Amino acid sequence: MKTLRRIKKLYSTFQNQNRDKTLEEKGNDQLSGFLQEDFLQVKHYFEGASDFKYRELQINSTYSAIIFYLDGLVGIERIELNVITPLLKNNNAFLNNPKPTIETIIEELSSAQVKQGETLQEVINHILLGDTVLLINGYKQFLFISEQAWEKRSIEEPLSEAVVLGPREGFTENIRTNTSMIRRRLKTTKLKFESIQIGNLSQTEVVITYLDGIAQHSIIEEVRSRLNQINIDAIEDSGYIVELIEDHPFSVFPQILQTERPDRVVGNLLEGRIGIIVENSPFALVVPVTFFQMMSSPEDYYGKFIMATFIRFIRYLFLLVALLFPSIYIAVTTFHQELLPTNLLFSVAASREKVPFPAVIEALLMEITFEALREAGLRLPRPIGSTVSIVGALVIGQAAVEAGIVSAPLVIVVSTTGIASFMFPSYTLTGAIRLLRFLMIFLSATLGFYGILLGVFFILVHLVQLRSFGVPYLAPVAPLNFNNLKDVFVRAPWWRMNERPEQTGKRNLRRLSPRNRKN
Amino acid sequence: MKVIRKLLLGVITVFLLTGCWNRIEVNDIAIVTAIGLDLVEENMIRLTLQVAIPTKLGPAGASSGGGKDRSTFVISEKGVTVSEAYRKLQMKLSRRVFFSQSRVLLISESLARKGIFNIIDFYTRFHQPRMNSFIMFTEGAASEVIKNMPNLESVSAEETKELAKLSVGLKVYVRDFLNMLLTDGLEPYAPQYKLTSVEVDTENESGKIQSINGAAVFKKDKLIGWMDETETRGILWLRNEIEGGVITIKVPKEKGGGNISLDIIRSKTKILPHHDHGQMKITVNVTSEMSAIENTSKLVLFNPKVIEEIQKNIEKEIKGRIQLVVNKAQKDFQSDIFGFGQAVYREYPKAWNTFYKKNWNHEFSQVEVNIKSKVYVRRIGLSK
Repeated sequence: MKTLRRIKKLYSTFQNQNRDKTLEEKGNDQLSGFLQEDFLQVKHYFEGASDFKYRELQINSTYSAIIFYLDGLVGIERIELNVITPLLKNNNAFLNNPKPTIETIIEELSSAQVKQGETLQEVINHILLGDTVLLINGYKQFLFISEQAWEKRSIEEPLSEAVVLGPREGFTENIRTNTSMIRRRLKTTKLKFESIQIGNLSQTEVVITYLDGIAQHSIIEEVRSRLNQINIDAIEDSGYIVELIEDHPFSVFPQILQTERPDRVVGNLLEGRIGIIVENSPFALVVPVTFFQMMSSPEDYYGKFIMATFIRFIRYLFLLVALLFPSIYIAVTTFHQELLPTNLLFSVAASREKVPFPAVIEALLMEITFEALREAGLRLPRPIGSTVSIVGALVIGQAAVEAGIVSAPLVIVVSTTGIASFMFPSYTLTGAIRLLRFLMIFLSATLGFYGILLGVFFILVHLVQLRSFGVPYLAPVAPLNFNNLKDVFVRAPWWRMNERPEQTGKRNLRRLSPRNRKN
Repeated sequence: MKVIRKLLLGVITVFLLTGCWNRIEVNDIAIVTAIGLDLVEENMIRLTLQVAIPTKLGPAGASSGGGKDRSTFVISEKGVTVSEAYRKLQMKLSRRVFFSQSRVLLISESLARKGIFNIIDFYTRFHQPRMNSFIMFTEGAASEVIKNMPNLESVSAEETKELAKLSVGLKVYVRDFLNMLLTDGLEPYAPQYKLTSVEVDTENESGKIQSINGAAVFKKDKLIGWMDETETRGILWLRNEIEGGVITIKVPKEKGGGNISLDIIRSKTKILPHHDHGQMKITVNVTSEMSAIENTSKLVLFNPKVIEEIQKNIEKEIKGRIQLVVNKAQKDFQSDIFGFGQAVYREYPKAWNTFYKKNWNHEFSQVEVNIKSKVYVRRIGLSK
């Protein structure tokens, strides 16, 4: 029995391969013009696809025709109204002319997008894309009507990049909605959308967008060639593409900006960068990016520049906190006790008195628990999520301290670090910092401040040698460009930031007329 | 492989290049808060440490009881040198002695009279003790004084530190002491530390409290005498270290009697040596600004003439105070704690190097000191 089944399986795979072959071979075949034969061919390919629908029609009771579509991808009401009704009703084209040209038939149809094609491959592809295909007996051409309509999410506020000031809309999974959101913000013909298909099975549409005359050709060309080199079965999210085209995939630091916000993409386009929008992903990509861009939120540009500068300082300060606070605590309490003010040392010593573990173990315990809580909070359905946070707060905070498993100062350290790690405007950067924090903990536990210094040193060396599509990751600090520092640690007022960043926008530097404000 | 090899080399180097391995948990150290040194058995040094007990020092509520429990304990051991006593003492303690948090160094008179260079040497050569500890001297045994109970802070040594920081009395760090010791034409001095009663002239003397007043005067590294509270104020005036304080002058009977107290706003002292017919003379210029804070006399401070008179009186008062210490240092101790020699060296380096450097001990007591005081009363307060 077993062998028999195996043989059967083998046979069926062979058949499948055979079928695929035939499609590829026949791919460029013209349609025969005989409706029944073509119909059977098409139907053959969609065997087993329950969403494949077709309907036979009689035009003026002389011509038989068939329309094909995939249910759920097509606005069927509009097809009925614009295609089926005109064909079934007494049709002028067919009444006056026994065999009208295909163009006259197109004129009869009141749909906005009607085009013609000739090969079987095209028929299949258009059906898959959500077009409605019309075959008419006696014609070697077929017509396809683009009346795609599928269920889609409405535009919502971006979850991962919420702001108080500024636009609230975020990208959705629908690529047309996404491009339209960008187009609405840049009503110029200089805004380009280059479309390519990636994924042998998924045929995902990927759009490269840039501002002609600002973005550099070399970078556009690089993006194009990297995208074209991708050979994969399916792209499920833009995250796939990030990993496939990143300069240094082994680095923990993100070298491509993933954003849900159309305004952030537009802001970057204006600075000469290039956006990549991927079908079925609410995350658009922006290349090339620098570290400091990851640290700046779109909100920085919408509020007052003084406030934005202050917030940026806080953000950089807490970058250090998120990266180093636990390791500094460990270093101070196990290597450099003389650094603490005496009274602080007393209270640290008092709270550590009952703790059985060394400070490192204690810190790791807490940090790992925190990471687990965070992950659990993400996964759990919202009603249970709050339960987790309560239990977590109780377990981590109070109970652990009272039971003498961890010391109270460490709880403060870990929770401050936890809060700090939520401050960055880039989710992927947060991940990098969280990971490096553990490295720093190990270093400080073995070598004290010397270890922290070394760790920071290595991280900086690594950051300096990173490139994102040829642009140094730490630009404009390293290499230094004084003019571009206006938008790094501070956010200069708009009338002072009259030039685009040199690394990406050097083709057209001037942004703002210097006469915008006289001072 | 090459990359891995390079990385490995880097990692190994990182670990080999470190100094000593000194990882120690905070609950494995005995935090020393004060150090006391005494002379015992003619030539042995007794090292007394005040060690904090962390469980008694935690936040209120966390520690059981609190209140009257001792937050520190005192442990001592003797040895020929400080480090020997320290090694012996370590054998009695289950936690590693940790000097780096101690900001108080108390040395008894008997030890100080024998010379304390070895102590200062240990304190600055060994990496743990802080150079910015306050050095102080006690008339009795340091080990006794170190046992006192705190009133405001959790640890008595913290109180000592805070008291020293207030700079009401003298404030001398170990590094200052070392500097004074090593500088030509300047002898060291340091504050005197003692316990006095909390309340004055009352029936229930409710215990002892620390006080820093008076000064120990040194010649080289040997203590040679004490100065009392008023004399110490004189040192502060001369050393340009006066930071506030109150001066009270008496108004003579014929003008109505009473007292006027003035608060020192700021004061500046300059020591100016000048060579005069082969004779070295020192002029001390004291300029101070004050404001009246209490007036029990019948004088109307509103009147500029009255103010002028008061100024003259205070000038005399300050001059007298300074003259007192100068006399004492010149006649009794023959120890140049004011740094007159330093001033001479700065003004006349050649003369200093050729003649005075060798003979300053003798010359100092002979030198003529001329004190000039200038006082400005800046504010007289709201009432007339």
